Amino acid sequence: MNRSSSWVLLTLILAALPSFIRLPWWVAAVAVVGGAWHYAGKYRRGWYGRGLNLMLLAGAIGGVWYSFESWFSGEAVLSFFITVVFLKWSEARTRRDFLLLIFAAVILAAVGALYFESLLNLAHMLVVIFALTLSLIAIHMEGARPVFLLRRAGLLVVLGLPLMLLLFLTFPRIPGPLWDIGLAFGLPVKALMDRGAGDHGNSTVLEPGGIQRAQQNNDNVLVAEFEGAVPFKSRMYWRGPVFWDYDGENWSLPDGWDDRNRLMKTAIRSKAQLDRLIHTKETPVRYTLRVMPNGGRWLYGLDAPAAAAPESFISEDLQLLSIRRIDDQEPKLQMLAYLDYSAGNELTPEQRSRALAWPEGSNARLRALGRQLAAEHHSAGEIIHAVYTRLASSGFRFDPTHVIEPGADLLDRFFFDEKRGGVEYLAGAAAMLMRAAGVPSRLVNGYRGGTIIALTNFVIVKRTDTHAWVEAWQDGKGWGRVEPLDIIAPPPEEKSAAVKPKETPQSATVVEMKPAGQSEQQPTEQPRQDKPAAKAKTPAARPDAGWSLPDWALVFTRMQKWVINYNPDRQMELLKGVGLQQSNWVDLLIGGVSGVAGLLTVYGLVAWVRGRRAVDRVGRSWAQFCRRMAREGIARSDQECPRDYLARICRERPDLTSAAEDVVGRYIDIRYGGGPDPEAVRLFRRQIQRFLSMT
Amino acid sequence: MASILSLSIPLKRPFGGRIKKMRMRLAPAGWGFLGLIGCGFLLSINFSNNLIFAMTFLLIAIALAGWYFTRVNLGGLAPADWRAEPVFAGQQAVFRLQVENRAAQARHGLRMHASGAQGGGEVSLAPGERAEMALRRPAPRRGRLPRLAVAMHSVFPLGLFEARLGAGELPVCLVYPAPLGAQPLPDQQSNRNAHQWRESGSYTDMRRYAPGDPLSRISWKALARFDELYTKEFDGAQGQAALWLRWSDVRGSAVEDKLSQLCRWVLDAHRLGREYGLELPGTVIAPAGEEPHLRRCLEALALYGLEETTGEQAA
Repeated sequence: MNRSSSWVLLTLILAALPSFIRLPWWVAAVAVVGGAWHYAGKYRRGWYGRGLNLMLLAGAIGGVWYSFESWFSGEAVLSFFITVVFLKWSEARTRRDFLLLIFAAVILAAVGALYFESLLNLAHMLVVIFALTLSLIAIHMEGARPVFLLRRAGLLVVLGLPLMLLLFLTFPRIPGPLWDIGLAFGLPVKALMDRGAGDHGNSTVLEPGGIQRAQQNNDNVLVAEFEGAVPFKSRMYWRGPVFWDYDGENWSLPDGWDDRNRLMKTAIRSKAQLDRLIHTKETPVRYTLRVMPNGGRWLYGLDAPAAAAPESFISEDLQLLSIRRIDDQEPKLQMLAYLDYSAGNELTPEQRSRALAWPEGSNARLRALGRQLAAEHHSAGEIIHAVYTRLASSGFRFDPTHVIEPGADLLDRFFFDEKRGGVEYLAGAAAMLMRAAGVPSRLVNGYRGGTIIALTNFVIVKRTDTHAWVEAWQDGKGWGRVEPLDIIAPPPEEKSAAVKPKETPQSATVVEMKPAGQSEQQPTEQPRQDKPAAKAKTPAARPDAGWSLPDWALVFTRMQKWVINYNPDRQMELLKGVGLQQSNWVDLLIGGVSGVAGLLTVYGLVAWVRGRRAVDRVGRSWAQFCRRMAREGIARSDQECPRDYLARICRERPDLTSAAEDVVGRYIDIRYGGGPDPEAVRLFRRQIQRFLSMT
Repeated sequence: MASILSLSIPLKRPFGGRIKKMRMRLAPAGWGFLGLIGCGFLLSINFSNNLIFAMTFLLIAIALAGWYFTRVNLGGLAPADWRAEPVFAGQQAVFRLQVENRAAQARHGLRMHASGAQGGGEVSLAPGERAEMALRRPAPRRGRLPRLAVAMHSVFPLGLFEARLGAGELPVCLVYPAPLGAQPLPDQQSNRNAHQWRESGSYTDMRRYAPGDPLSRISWKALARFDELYTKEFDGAQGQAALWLRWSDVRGSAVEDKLSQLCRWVLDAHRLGREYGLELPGTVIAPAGEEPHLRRCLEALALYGLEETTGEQAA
């Protein structure tokens, strides 16, 4: 057992390696002591063994307390898990202990893969699985030679790889965390969630980089269940704060905007009032909204709400707000919304000046450009079009992770120099550009899209879906949405299968502008295809790939695309490549299962053929002979030796005497005579064949 | 105790007979592995992590490939017949059989399993190699140990699946009473002196040799002359009287105790080289010596009072 257990240790160390690098040093220290303690022979038994283990465990708990803020943060749990695994190793003796450890190693490797998602990690995972296979064989076969183990494990892994590839490509992917699915169906998952971050509804300022920060957070914001088909993700705008005021750096809400009396005074009370405000209403969508506590009044209704629900009201900016703050409860509302709309009758002079305000002395270049646009075009619609054209043709790149140094003339630097950044720069710049051109505009913050839970009508909106967009005022039409992001990074084409055919993919304002943008967006489409994040990671995976062979970088990017970033869309792409145009997850499942069955059949056939060839040929031929004789009426009984059998044949069937004598004589010679003689075996088998054809 | 009581049962013949169906099932480790794969799926779906997906699928793939290896590992094996020797009650009956590997690949981790029997260790067989595998079965009471189905198991290579192949049945094994009791051998107070065939008397006859005849009775001269074995027969002597081991001589009342005491006597008498006869209620075995007589006596003791119920089983 000793030798095989070392393989288990190897597996454990390999599996925990990425975690060691990431976690505090004491985790590795405890692991090393625990790992060495296993080999301490008799010292590790008895009370001193237990004592040391207890001390190490206490040390680990102390380490968790010292190093981490929370007892149950992911890293704290992982650290504790690793130490416990290695302490278990120190006292492991039986086969079952080792099995447990091997399985724990798999979990460790999986958790490692959660943190580092790169091709290097893929290689690491393969190595861990190889070590696991090896240890499994080793603990089930005591005293096996390493070469034997390596060959066996290698064979298993090599045979497993095609199966893995097949399963990987064809297994239907269900997007999103599983607890989302539970959440969607009203399971009490809430209790498990972290309640600390539930106060994002209180912020009143949109800072540069704020959206990117919000997107790092994976908390749920709301769950919506749609009646009928779920709209396109790109068309779902969940409306939050509406910002009018820009100070050159931040967008902010006025002080006291949250005041209940003020809000109720300006709120849209009646249906008639709302109807007067919203001119065009198309594409009605009914849904049930469930909002997670956010500490503010935000209900994030889908743009634009058609009526308020109980306990809520619609503000003058068309936001759906709760009368009470949502601190603890989860409001659940039946809602109707119009995805295509334009709203607003007239702007008061005060509103117009707010929507055109420009912080003095900032972003001069942007302002000059706006004035130029105003001079060239007359109507607001034309200016909006011009802004779109400008955005599309200037080579902007959408890069949520790019942070622009805060400071003066932020938008100028974004718009004219850096030309890449998150959505708040883009929307902010577009809004201010239009203000400079004399078009009243404001910035809306909220969420766009969401995660559609597979096979259901549920959409979960998370903070990762945080978005900002622009609304521009056109006299006679009212406020209309301007979406700069779609111009520089068009949303991926979505399947229409789940959506009502009458719906058009773009909202009214965007459709109008689309042709201009469409023609010029081709060159900018490239960066969208492989994610910027993935690109950034490639050099980390193989730092030397860049200079030695440039092609390698491409290969790795491709692999990255197909392995790390494989997703349901790629899966469908693949099916189309095979020639299946209309396919769904059932096809995938069928394809995968039949593929695996086919491969296994091939393996089985190979094994069968090899096994067949190996069976004793002399015995087989002899059995043939005996069967034939049995058909002739002389069955050999089990205890009858060949010589007796021959005697009986001669007695009962004298006509077969000479043939039988020959065959039986050869059989006796081979079986009971000298050593193996291939020639004799060959002759014997030929004689049997002859005998069989004769009789 | 040199002779062997071997009851042979036709087992799976390597050729000719129908090959028994192999059964596969998840070993306990396999269930754990299944749980692990479940965990992998949960993790990978939950975090939409392709690496964990890949890992989970690789685990599945390896398990599937391992399934084949496990299955193949029992192919091409030719087990012979189980053999067993009678034992005394309280001992363990040892059953042995030879397995030959007729496949071209080595076989590993073979294990015999029968419920209620302890297996030997795991056996590996190189191509063409034979090995003896053993099963031990406790024999607490005299009588016959009933037959028991045996299966050959193997979990090689991964231990996740277990392949089972029927390997015949353990034969019926005779269990003699435990030789117990402190009573001394009875004096021959009886007047029935046993005939002592071993003592030489006058020569009576010469007959063909039959297996089991004492070597001292073989006529070597006849062998030299006719090239065949002949046994000389004598009429024996009335020399030392044979012992009579009688049921009625045993003190005590419990049947099993009496049988144990008789068993002790039989063995003692055999060890002393005396001739002895056995008298049980309903059974009388005439005095004689030698192994076959010992066996007959022990068998009579073992089956005393049981034969009606177990007779058909043993047939």
